[in-house]
Amino acid sequence: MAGELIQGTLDMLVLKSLQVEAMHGWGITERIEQWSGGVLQINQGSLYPALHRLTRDGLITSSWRVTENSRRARYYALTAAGRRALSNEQTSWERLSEAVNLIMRMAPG
Amino acid sequence: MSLKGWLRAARSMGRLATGFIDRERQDAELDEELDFHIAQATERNARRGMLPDEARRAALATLGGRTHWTEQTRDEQRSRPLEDFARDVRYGTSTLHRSPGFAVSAVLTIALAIAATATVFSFVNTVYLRPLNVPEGRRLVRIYGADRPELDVQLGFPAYQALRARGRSFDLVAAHYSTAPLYLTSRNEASEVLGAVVSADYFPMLGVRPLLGRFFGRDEDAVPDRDPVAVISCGLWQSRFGGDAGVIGEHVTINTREFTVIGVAPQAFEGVTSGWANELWIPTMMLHAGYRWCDALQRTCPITSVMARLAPGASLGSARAELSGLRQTVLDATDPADSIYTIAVTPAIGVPTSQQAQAYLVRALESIRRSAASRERSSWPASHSRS
Repeated sequence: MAGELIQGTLDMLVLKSLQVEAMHGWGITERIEQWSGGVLQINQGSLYPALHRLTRDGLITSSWRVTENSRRARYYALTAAGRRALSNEQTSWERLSEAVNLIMRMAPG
Repeated sequence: MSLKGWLRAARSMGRLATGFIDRERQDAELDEELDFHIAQATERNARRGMLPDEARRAALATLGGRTHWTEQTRDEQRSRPLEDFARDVRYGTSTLHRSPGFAVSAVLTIALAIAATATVFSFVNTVYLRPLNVPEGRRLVRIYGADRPELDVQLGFPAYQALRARGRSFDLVAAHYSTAPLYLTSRNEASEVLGAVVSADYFPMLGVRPLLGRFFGRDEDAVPDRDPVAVISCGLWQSRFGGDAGVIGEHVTINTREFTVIGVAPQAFEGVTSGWANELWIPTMMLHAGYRWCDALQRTCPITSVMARLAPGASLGSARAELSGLRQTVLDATDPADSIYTIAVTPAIGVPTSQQAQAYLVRALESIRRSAASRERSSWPASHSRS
C-alpha cells in the first residue's frame, strides 16, 4: 500500500466505499484505488482483518452472492450503525485533517 | 427472558458448539473469498499487459504474509477454547487406548462428566433461571423493545427518560450500557476494561452499597459531560490500585477524558449482565466519553438498555398493563429506524442477549477444558508406569 494508513482511517474508507452499494472485498480495494487517483492501494493483508473488525462491531454485514461472471463472492453492506459511524468518522476526520494542515502550513521561523 | 431470546440463545449456543465442526467450512469460505480476490487481481494485471504468470505472481505478492493474517482472521472467527477442548478430548482418548490404566482413566472420565454436568447446570442456573445476585434482585425487570425481525432491542436514552417520568409501576428506573469497552489509564498502567455507563438510580435500584467512598448522586448525572466521576470494582481496586484506600479522589483517564474515582463497589458485584464482569462504572451523562460511534443521548443512537424495580404492590402483570397504555409515548422516544412495535417487560433473570450467553458458555467450557487438562496431567505417572 502506498503510504501508511492508520487502522481507523482504513476502516472509515471501507465504510465510505460501501456507502452507495454493497461490494465484495476486491471491489472495495478497486474503488478506494480509483477514488484516490491511484494513491491508495489497499492490500488484502489490511483489508480482510478490517472487514472482519467492522463486521464484528456491527457496522457492516456480509452475504454470499453470484457476480456478473457467475463467480461466488462475499458482498459487504453497511448497517444502520455503520451509516451513523461513517458520518461521525467523517466529521472527526475533517476536523482533524484541518487542524493538522493548519500546523503544517505554518512557515518556520 | 422472552421466548425469542431463549430461541436465539439456544441457536447461537448450538452454533458455537458446532462451530469447531464447521471450522472447515469457515476456512473453505475464507479461502474461496481470497481466491476470488486473487483471480480478480490477476485478471486486472493481465488487462494491463502483464503475462499470465507475472500477473498471478504480482497478485499474490500483494497478499503480504497470507498465512499469518489468515490465522488472525480465523482466530477471530472461531472459538479457540472449543477447538482446544476437542483436541484435548482426542488426545485423552488416544492415551486411554495406549495404556491400560483403565481404572484411572475411567475415574477420570466419570469425574469429567460430573464436572461438565455441574458446570452446564450451573451455567443454565445462573444464566437463565436465577434472579440477579443483588439485594433487590427479585423485584428487577428489564424493559425493551420488540421489532419486526423478531429481535429484542435496547430502547435508548430518551425512552428511558420517558419511562422514568411516566412509569408508575416502577419505583426506580435506570439506564445502563453494560458492555462498554473503556480504556483506563491509572497509576502508569493503561488497558481496556469492561465498563458500564449507568444512570444515577442504577446502584440504589440494585440495593448495593459502596465498599469505600460513594456512588454517584442524581446531581452528578444531570448535565451532559459535566461530572466525570467513576466507580471502580473491588477487583479493579485490588489489581490496579493495590487496595489502597487513597484511591478515593484519585484522577484517572477513561477514553482520554479525566475522571475522578469516587467509590469502590462491593466485593463480588459485577454489574447486571451475567458473564460480563463490569470493573468500572461512569454516569450516563458521560456517555459521550463512553461511546464514540454516535451521540448515545439521542433517540437515534439507542445504546442504553432500561432496567427498573417494581414498586411495592406492583406486579409484572400490572406493569405490562401500564406499559401497553404508555406504548405510544415510549415509542415516540425510540429510534424510528428500529421499527419497534411494542414495549415488553420481563423479569431480570439471566442474560439479556444471546451474544452474552455465548460468551458465558465459552467461559464455562474453557473451565471444563482446563480442569480436564490438569487432571490428565496428574494421572500421567500412573498410566505411564503400566505401559
